[in-house]
Amino acid sequence: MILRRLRINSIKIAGERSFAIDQARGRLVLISAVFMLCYMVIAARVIDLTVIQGHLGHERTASLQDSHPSATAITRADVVDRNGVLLATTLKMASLYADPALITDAESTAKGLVKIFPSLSYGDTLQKLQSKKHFVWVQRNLTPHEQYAVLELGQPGLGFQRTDRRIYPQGELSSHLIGYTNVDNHGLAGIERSFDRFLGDGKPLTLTIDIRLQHALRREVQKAMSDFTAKAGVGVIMDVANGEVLAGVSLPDFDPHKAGAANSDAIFNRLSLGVYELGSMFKIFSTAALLETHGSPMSTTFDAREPLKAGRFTINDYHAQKRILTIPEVFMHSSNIGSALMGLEVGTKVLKDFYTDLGLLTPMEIEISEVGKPMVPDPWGDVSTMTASYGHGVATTPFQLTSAVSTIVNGGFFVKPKLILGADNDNKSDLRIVSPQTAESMRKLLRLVVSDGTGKNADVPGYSVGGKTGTAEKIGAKGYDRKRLISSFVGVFPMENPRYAVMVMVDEPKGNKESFGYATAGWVAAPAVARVVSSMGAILGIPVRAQNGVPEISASLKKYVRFEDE
Amino acid sequence: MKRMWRKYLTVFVLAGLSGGLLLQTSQSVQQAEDELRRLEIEVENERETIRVLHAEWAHLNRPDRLESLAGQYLELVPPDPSQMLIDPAAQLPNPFVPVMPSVKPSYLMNAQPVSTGSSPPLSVVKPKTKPSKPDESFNDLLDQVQNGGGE
Repeated sequence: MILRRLRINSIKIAGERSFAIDQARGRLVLISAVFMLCYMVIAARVIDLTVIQGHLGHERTASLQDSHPSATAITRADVVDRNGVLLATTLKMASLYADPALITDAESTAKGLVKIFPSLSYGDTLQKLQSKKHFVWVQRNLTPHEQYAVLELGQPGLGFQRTDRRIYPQGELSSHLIGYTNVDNHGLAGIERSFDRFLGDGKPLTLTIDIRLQHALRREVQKAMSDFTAKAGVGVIMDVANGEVLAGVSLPDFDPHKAGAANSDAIFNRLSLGVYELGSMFKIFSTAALLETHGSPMSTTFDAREPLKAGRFTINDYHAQKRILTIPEVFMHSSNIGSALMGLEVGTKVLKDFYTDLGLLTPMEIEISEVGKPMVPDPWGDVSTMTASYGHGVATTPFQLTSAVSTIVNGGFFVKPKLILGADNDNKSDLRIVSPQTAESMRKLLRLVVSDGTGKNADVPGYSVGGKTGTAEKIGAKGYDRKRLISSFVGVFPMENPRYAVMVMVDEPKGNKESFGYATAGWVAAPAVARVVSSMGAILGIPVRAQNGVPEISASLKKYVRFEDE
Repeated sequence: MKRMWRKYLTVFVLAGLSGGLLLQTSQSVQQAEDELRRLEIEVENERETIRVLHAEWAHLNRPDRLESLAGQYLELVPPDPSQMLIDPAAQLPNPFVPVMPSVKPSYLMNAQPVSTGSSPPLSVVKPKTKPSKPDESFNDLLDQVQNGGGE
């Protein structure tokens, strides 16, 4: 129209003005061409979006939303046991949120939600749905069934956000070692805490524990606890060569999925954080100190006829022999008097240094941050030396004790407890604490305790278990309480060439009919260790030792022992 | 004037052609990208499914669960150390040789009793097609047999 009029005008107007009109026309043509191009592009794009890829549109927007969180965040890595069995993993779970502005009928929606999630209260839910916000969490971590039920409500104001959730397929089985995380997947305890950054970066971890042994150990510690109506229990299985913890149990334990709801007693890690006076098990270390530093022959005698006066204490024997005892006799009858005299002979400084070398007096190094500080007598005088020789006045963690025993029986090489597999291939140290001769003597002595001494109940025919009992009185309101005991046993097998150390500790056991009322280590912890060893043999397929013909490793010590019936 | 029109026409046709080609290329790129994204999401979903299945597998194979199931359904108990061989390597058969013979041993085939009319039928314990009680244990069965013999 405009162009035509312009053309008509151009006919009328000629001459000097025609140039200006031409210019204006040219501009108008250009402008209309540009506009036409724009409309054409828009038209093409509309056709493109609606006709050509109209069918893709929905799918794309939906899937973009869906894939968003997984594309950006790295999932927290898995934790597996030494055989690759899954201990902790991260799964995506849907969490339900609501946009109250889009909720059409808040009351019926709230009713529907309460029906799906019985834990929600109707009032709270309704209040959330009627709020003025644009985003409120309704429920975290839905199961697929719940998610389906919510979708069936058909409420446009409800949506799902996929969030990561830490899952522990083995439940409470090793909750104290693996630990747990908070809602935001940050480790709060155990391996989850100490390797928080590492796991968060998506790097998986392999632990030294074997879930089968873990189960067997837990079962037996549980049984010992229920048989003797005890308060708590601890169990450790350690590879004596390198200190790898094959199993570690602290009971009562907790479900890591609901760590927040567990009480502090269940959360408490008795393996590495709890320090206990473990009693006569320390005779292993004081005897080793005597053999190592003085080279005393087995025939060395100690007068255990009379209770020993030490300051304000009187040292008595549980299994009193009331006679002069040789080293093997002191050890197998677990004579406190004999051990106290041994400690005096070793000397205060030497004994203290020896304990320190074994790692008993300083907080241990381990891959979890729950580490208890050992209780050490301060000042450490001669009386402390005497009591420390049979494990009183010194308190350590079960992990520390087991690794110190491992250090002595493995041939004398220092080991420390280890939870992560494969960092340095076999973790064998060449730091020698005791000589091979001392290690050999200690193996014989430990075997003697089980073959003829206080630990007879720990014997498993074919596996030549060696070990030491430890019964300690707990400290009550007025000094040591005779009724409240900590009964423990550390076993090592096979004694000819030790491979595994098994430690069981039971807190406040009460004697029962089978134990003739006794709640001491020989009746409570030793049988539990025997059952653990027996299960381990079956699980790991450990070959048994020929029982006829081959003399016991402890046989050579029998000549120093006077038996009752002789 | 005519020549100029032809020139414009050529330019327009060429421009149109190249525009069309460009559109087609961009469309195929778009479609390829969509396909890629779809596949990536599919892979991610499959990975997630595998993770879930791994977790479920680990959960179902919990030692305590297996133990209770074994106690429920198997007539087997963990071996006692006294049942173990001194030197397993020397005495156990090679685990890779099948333990079960592929053909039934001949004595099993010949074990069917031959019924001879007049004489009373031999008491042959026929295997039941279905266990009378599904949860009946082998020990229950043994008890029944022993009680029957005593009467």
